[in-house]
Amino acid sequence: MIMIIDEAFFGFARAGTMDGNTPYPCILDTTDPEQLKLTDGSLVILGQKARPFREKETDETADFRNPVEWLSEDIVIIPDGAQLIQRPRKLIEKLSYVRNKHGMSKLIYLQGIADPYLIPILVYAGVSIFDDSTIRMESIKGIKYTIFGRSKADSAEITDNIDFIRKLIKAVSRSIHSGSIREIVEKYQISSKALEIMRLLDKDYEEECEKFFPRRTPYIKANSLESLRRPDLTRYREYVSNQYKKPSGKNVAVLMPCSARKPYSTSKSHKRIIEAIGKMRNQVHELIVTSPVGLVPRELEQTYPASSYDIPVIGEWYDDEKSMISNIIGAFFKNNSYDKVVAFVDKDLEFIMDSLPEGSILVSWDRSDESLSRLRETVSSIISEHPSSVKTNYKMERYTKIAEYQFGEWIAKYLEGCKIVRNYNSEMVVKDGKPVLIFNEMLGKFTINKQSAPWFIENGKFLVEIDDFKPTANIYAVGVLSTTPDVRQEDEVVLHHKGELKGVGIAKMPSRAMIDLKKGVAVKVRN
Amino acid sequence: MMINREFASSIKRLMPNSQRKTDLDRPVSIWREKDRLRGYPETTMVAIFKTTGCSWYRFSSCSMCGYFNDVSSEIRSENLKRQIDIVSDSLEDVKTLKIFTSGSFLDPQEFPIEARDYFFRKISGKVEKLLVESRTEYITESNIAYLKDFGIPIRIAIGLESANDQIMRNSINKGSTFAKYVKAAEAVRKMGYELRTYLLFKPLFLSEEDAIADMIDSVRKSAPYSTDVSVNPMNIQKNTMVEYQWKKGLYRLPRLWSLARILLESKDFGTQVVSYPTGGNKERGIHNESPDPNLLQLIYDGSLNQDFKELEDYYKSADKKEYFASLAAEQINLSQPDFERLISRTSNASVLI
Repeated sequence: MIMIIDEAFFGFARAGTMDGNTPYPCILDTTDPEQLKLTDGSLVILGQKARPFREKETDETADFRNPVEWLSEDIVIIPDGAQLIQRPRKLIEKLSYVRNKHGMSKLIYLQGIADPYLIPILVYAGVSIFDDSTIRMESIKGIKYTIFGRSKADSAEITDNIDFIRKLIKAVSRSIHSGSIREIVEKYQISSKALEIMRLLDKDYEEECEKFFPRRTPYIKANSLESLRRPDLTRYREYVSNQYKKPSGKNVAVLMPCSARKPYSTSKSHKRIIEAIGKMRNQVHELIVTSPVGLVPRELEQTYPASSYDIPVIGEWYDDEKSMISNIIGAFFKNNSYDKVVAFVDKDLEFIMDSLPEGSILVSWDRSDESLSRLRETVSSIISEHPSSVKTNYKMERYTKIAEYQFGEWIAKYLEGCKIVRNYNSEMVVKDGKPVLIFNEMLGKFTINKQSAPWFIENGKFLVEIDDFKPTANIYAVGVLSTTPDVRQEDEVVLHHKGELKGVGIAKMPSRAMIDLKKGVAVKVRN
Repeated sequence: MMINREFASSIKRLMPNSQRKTDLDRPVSIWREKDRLRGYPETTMVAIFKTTGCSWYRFSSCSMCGYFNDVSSEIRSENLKRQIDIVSDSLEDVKTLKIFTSGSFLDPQEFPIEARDYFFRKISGKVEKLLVESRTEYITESNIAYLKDFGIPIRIAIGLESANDQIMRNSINKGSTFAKYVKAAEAVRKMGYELRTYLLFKPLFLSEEDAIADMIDSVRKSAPYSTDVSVNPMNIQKNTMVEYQWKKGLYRLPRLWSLARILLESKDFGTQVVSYPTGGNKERGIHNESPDPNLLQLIYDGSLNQDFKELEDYYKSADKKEYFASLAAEQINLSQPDFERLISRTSNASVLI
C-alpha cells in the first residue's frame, strides 16, 4: 500500500513522499515492473491496482469519446495526456475536473507526456506523477534535452535524458518547498504550450487558482509580464480596487512612483517626498503607483505583496503594465473620493492622468528640489482651500488598515480605542492593557493571540475547526473538520472545536487539502 | 451480453445518414491479386458487390468497418444481376474468385436467393474455387446446403476478428461471439465446405502487445476449424470509430514487426496462417516507425508460399530497439496514443537548438 505524505504545497502543486521513500513529483521508470505493470487490462502502479473510474455501478463502459480517468487507492491516472496536451485548454479542464471529482487525497498521474519543458508547468497545474515512456522514444530518435531546449544528435543516451528530467523534477520539487515554483514556471518558457497553460490558468481559472494559491510567498521576482497575473497579485488588486476604504480625514491624495527599496518609505526618494509634505502629511493620503502590484496606499506598504517584490525597471512601461495600473487607479478612485488628487510622478507615469478624477493636478517629479517645492506648494494651497480638522494617530491608522486588509473590515470595530505599544523589536496592538495583535515587521502581517482569537470565532473568519483535542505543535489534516471559506495557505488562523477556542496558528496547506487529506501538516500551531 | 450499448451507439452516431449517389449496376470494385485458395499461389479475382449493406448496420456497425460508405438501399436483384454480369465478364482466364459484399453474401435480405442463384449459374464452368464471406448468423445448414449443387468448391469466410468475446464486444462491436463462430464453423465443415477465418489485428483500446497476444490466441483457437486463418491488420476506414479515435491521436495502427511476430509464432498451429495487409506502409495502414517495403513484401511472400524462413531471418537480424520502446510505452499506457504524431507535435512547441 502506498502512503502519501505531503510535505509542501503551492497552489495545485504538491511535494512529498509515497511509501515513505519515493518522493513526488516524480517520474516512473516504465522498465521497472515494480513501478508500472499492465496486466489483464489493469494497470498496477507502485503495487496498487488501478481500475477505470465509472460514474455509476451499472455503467461498465468508458465514454468512448472522452477516455475516463483510472483510479487506484491513492492515485488517479489520466491516460490521454499525449492527446490532451495538443489542446492545453482540454488538459487544464481535465485536471480541474479530476481535482474536483476525486479530491486531493489522490495524486494525479498524467500518462503519455513527460516533455521536460512542460513538466514544471504541469506540476504547477497539479500533476504529481509522470512516466519515462515518451523520453525513451525521443531518445531513440536522437533527441537530447538541454536546459535551453531540444537538440538533435545521432544518438542520445536514454540515461542522460532521464537524468536531465530527474534533476529538473528535483529542482521543481524544491521550488514547491521554497515557495518559488510560480517564478520557475514564469521563467521556464521553452515551450509555447507551457506558457499557454500558465496563461489559461491565470485567465480562465483565476478563481480556482486563487483558492489554492498561498496568501504570501517569500518574495515576488516579477521578471516576466506573466507576473502581472499572479494569483496573489490579482487577489491584492481586487482588494484595493473593490474593498479598500481610505482612512478618514485624508482628503488629499498624492500619487507617487515606487522605489526599489522596500518598504518604499525607507528609500531616499520617498524620504525626500515625505519631508517635503512635512506636517501636512496628516491630511495627505500617499498612494504609490507601481508594477506589478498596481497601487499601494502608504499604510499597506509593509504588507505582502507591496513589501516583497522586485521588477526590472527601464524607465518605460509596457502596455500591459499601463492598462493594469490604469484599471486599478480607475477602480480605486471610484470607491474613494478626495478633495483633490495630485499626481507627483515622472514623465513615464504621466499616462495615469487619464484614469484620475477630473480636476486632478499633475506635478512633474524630476528628482529635483524644485519639483519637491512645487509639490509642497500645490498640497499646501489645496489644504488651505479644504481645511480639515481631523487629527489622526498615524500609527494606529496604519495598523487598522493593515488589519482590515489582512482580516477584513469587520475587525476595525475591535481596534477602536487600542494603542500601539513597542515591545523589543515588534509592535503590538494593545487593548485594555492586553496585547491583542502582534505585528511581525519581517513578514508585514499580524499574528493572532488568545485575546483576539474570540473575535474571529464570533465573526466566523479564518477558522479551522478541529477534533476535540488540545493542539500541540502541528495539526495534521486528519484532525481538521472544516474551515471557513476565507482560509488560504499561510494565513493566520484560529483553531476551534464547536466554537470553543483551541489555539492559533498558520495554515500550511490549501483548505481543500485540509479537508481531503489525512497526512501532512494542516496548521502549524503557535504556542 | 454480446453488445456494449454505449459503444454501439457511439459508433452508430458516426455513421453517415445519407448515402452517396452511385451507379447501382456496378460492383464497388474488382481487382486481381494472388492467393492460395487451391493450396498454391495463383491469380485470384476479387469482387466487391454493391448491396443494401450489412444487416448489422441497421443496429450499428463494427468499430473498424467503413463499408457502409459503399452501400445503397436502392439495390434490387436486377442491379445485382448486372453487377454479376460485369464480374463474370471480367474473369477471363482466372479460375479462383473471392466475393465480398458490404455485409454477408449469404444474407438473403442483402443478396436475394434469386441473385445468388443467378450468380452461381453465371460462374459455373468458369470458376473452379470460390470464396464467399458471411456473418455467422447466415451460416446455417439450411442456408448453405444447396450451394454444393452448383459444383463449385467453396471456402466460406467468417470474420471472427478475435476469439476473445470481451474484445469482440468492447473493442470491435461485432455483435457475435466465439461460440457462434464455432457453431457456424461446424456447419461449414458438416456441409463439406472449407473455412477461412479472418482475424482483426489490433482493434481499439488494446496495446500492441495485448493485440499480438490476442491474435496468437485467436489463431490457436480457430485453427482446428480453419483451412486457413487470415490475419487482417487494422486499416483506417472513413466514418468509423477507429478513424475517430485515430484522428484524435488515440489509436496507433499496428506495426509490421508485430505482424511478423504473429505469423512466425503461429505458423505451426496446424492451419495455414496468412496475411495480406491493406494499406501496408501507408498512413492509414499497418506500418512501423518508418516504412519498410522489404518487410511488407516478405510478409506477402511468406503468406502466399507458406514459407516464412526469409521473414524469420529478416526479423532476427533487424535492429528493433525503437519498435520495442514504442511497444513498451503502449504497454503501460491506458490509452494507445499515436506517440510519434503526438510527441512530435508537442516537441515542436519548444525550442530546438
